[in-house]
Formats: sequence, structure tokens, C-alpha cells
Amino acid sequence: MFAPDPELHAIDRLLDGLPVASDDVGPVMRRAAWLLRQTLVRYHPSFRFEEGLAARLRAEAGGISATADPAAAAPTARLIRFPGSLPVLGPDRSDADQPDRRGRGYLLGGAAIASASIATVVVAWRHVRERPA
Amino acid sequence: MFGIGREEAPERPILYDVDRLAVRAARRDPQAFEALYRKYVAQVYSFALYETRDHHAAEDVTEQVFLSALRGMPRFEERSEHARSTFRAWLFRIARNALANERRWQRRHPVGPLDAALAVASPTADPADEVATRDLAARAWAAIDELSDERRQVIVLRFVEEMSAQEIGLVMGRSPGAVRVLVHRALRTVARRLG
Repeated sequence: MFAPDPELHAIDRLLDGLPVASDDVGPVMRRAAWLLRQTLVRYHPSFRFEEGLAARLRAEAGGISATADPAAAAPTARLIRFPGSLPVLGPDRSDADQPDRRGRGYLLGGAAIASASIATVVVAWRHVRERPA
Repeated sequence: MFGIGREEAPERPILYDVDRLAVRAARRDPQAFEALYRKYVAQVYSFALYETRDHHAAEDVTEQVFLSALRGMPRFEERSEHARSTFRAWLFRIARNALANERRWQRRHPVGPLDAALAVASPTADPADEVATRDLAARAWAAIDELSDERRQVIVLRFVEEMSAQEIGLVMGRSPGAVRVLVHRALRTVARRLG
């Protein structure tokens, strides 16, 4: 025999800890639900078992990782050419492999300016030292 | 009376699997499965203990469940044929299968009842209360023992694992309505046994 639908939903609400009218769920059913809630507790496995199984799962996971496709697992990276780097040209280098010449020009210009600045500082320093007090 | 409980309770859809991120992490890196293991080991062990009534058998089942789950992570479907599933529901489906195998083995090698569980289930300090609680607990366990496998599992999932009717339905391959009927019948049987 099927229980009336409202009673099923009322018990569902009762077990969810929601308020239920007293005439929807009788005292006998309420007591049984309360008793089961008190009696049916969760058990924990022993620490030794839990850690032992954890170690076994780690070993198993390591095996799965090792057998997985290494190419798919490897991080993908791309080399980016430094704009001012000097070319290392071989006989079969195509034009696409040529470095950025504009970047190379900037590098040479910067080096010339730096050299001139250092020379100016050295000359000024010598001039100050050789001036009679 | 305001008719609380008489209104049709709407189906509670499982909108979001709380373990979704952990599951994705475990799929990318199997070592990340440990987080899911730590979260659910006690639940699976407890479910197995209620079913087998034997600590060693429960440990065996728990080990089988988590090894199967780790190996089967690529096969886990968040969306099943009828409804969205959860990692926990999938895990408990594996547990039910493992327990069915274990039960077949136990029928050939029967073991005694789990007295240790009754000893643990007495939270009171007062000896008189403790005796009364033990007596009630023993009667409740006896009543649960007499339930069919399906009804007992529904009761354990509802009371111990605190699953909703919908999640239990996902575990047991039943509709939420059918689960409510099972809970109701089991509860009525227990109530009758307890007098």
C-alpha cells in the first residue's frame, strides 16, 4: 500500500530538519526518525588505514601520470627572439630567420651614446684633476 | 494550521557539484585525487561498515572504491542520461557495486554482528543514560537489520550521509519519489519494531 504523497514530503522535510505540522507526521514516526538520527552515526576509519590507503593512491596516481602522454603533459613554451641579438647566420638561413635589423640599429646607437657619455665624463674628470689649485 | 508540510515540496535540483573543481584538478593531475579521497574516505568507509558490519571488510571495500574511482576518473560523467550527477553520487554507485560483490563473498563466509559499532554509538556520560541509549541503539540496529538491502541502504544514505532524496536516487538508480517511498516504508518498519 502506498503512503499518501503529503506524508512522504512531510517526512522528507522532517529529515531535512524543516518544520512539519504535528498532524502530518505522527509521534511514532517522529520518534523513529529521532532515534535513527541518534543511533546512525558516521564511523571513521583508523588513522593507519587512512594513511596507508592514501600512500597507495599516491603511488597509483604516480603510475597513471607516468603512463600518460608526456607530450600532452609537458608545458608548451615558445622562444621569442630578443630584438637586438646579433645574427648567427649559417649558409642555409632564410630571410624569415633574419633578426630585426631595426632593433639591431637601436642597440648600436645606444652603445655609441653610452661610449660618448663615458668618454666625456673621463675627460671632464681629468680636466678637473689637472687644473692648478 | 498553516499546512506546513502539506504543500508539494519541489524537487531540489542538484545545480552544482561542489566537487567540480577538485574533479577537474584530479583529471589534470591524478595526484590531486587525494583531496577527494580525504573528503570522502570516512563517508565511504562508514557506508561500507553499515553494510558489512565488519571493520576489515569495510576497509577492503573502501580501498576498492577509491582505487576504482582513481582509475575511472576519465570516465566520470557529470551529466548522466537523466540528470546531473555528482562526484559523490558516482562514488557511492561504485561503493554499492563493491558492496554487492562483498555481500556475495560474505554469503559464503558469514561473520558476526558488529558489536563495536554499538559501543561507539553511546555519546552520554551518565551510566544510566548510557544503558538506556545502548538499549535503544540495540533495538534500532535490530530493526535496521531486518530491513531489505535496498531499504537499509536508503536509510543509511539518508541518515548517516545526509543525502537528499534526489542524490540517493542518483546513487540507487531510482527516482526521488521512489526514494521517498523507500524511506517512508523503512521508517514505518523501524517504528513498528521499536513499538
